[in-house]
Amino acid sequence: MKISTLFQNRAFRFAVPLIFWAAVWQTAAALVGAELLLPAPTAVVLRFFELATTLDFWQAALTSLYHIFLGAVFGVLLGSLLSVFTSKYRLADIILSPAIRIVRTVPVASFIILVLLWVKKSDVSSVISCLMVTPVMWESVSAGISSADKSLLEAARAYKIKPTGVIRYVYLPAVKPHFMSGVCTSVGLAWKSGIAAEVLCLPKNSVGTELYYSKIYLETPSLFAWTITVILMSLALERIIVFFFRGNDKGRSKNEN
Amino acid sequence: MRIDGLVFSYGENKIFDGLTLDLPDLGITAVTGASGCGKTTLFRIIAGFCVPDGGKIDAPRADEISFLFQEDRLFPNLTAAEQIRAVLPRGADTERWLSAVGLSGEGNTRVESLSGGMRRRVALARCMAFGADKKLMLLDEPFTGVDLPTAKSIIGAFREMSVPVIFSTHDTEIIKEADTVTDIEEIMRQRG
Repeated sequence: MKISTLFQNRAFRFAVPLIFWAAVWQTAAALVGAELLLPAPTAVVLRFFELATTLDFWQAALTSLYHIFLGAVFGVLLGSLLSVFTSKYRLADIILSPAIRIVRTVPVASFIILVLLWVKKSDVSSVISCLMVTPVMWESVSAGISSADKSLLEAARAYKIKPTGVIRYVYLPAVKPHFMSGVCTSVGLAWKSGIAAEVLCLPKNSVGTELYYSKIYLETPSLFAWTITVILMSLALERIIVFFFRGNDKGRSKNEN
Repeated sequence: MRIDGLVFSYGENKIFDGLTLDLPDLGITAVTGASGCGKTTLFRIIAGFCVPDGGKIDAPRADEISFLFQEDRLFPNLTAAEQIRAVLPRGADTERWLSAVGLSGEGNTRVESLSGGMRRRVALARCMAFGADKKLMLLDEPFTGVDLPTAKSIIGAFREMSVPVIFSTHDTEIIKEADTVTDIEEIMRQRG
């Protein structure tokens, strides 16, 4: 097999970096020689499977998934709606743009503490995820709307196509790639900010609370195992969303050809 | 149709400086002239996409014209039939128009899978479908990438529609198929 062919092999591209970084991690852990500071990957994987056999693990993981997913979905909807609004009305853009940019730059911890004063601590991760996702989606969808092909808009005008048709035939194809890329970025961001909110607010049954207790009780392998849980859930969620949209595309082209 | 003393510039570049011409409002008219002489600009002015700096245009209103752009401007990810359906009332027949441009049976093919000439014919079919009840079809280079026998057959389909057609072209063989020929370069040269 040619080397260039091997580099294109998906299993190769997945396994090689995984093995490389696990070896680096194992070597570093052996050099440090203290599990408290840097546990070995084997210890972390063992701890992960130990946790995964308990009911508490699944309760915490699924509760966090529910709250963060809910926040992310609302963020995606809110950001997309706001972008439509600000793209259509210049005044709305002038008024809302600075506010949205400020939300992007304010440290997430400030928002978490403020939101904690207003809502139940179990809902803080949803609100924070929503707040972090909204500006990303606003920016992505706005870029998609402004990238709509002007010549197609002129054609739609020439053929007196209704506004719903213009949205379907011109704007949706332009917005879709920007929307997808925004959603992929948002999923990671929602998890990062949602878990940070849980660590600060300590709601019952949550990954963030478990991370906090791992820190308090100096259980570094558990800290790593919970972190792996978050990464896996984030990747799974991203894959599901990408599969959903790409799957629809494939189904469509099959029907039409 | 009469264009009287048309003046139009793109910035410093003067395209028309008092162009006057008559175009028949019946049958099929070919408008010719070298590249860059202003055929596309003239068509865009008549269709209402460009505002002239001066002169008078006595022609059907923009909403009474079906205009074919110089580029195909097909909507992405749609099939050939969906392109036509987009400009017709719900439930209208699309096959008639595909058949008129020699694309029967290609209705379910996405336009991205078609050749350049076939895409041009889809654009033409969409313009014909929209123009069936209009007062004028204004076609900018409609036969780019279309072979001569197919172009002649499409011109035959224009005749069955009973809507006046004005189209631009450089192709001498296609020009022969028109009822009237107007060379705008020649008209501008005569005017000096």
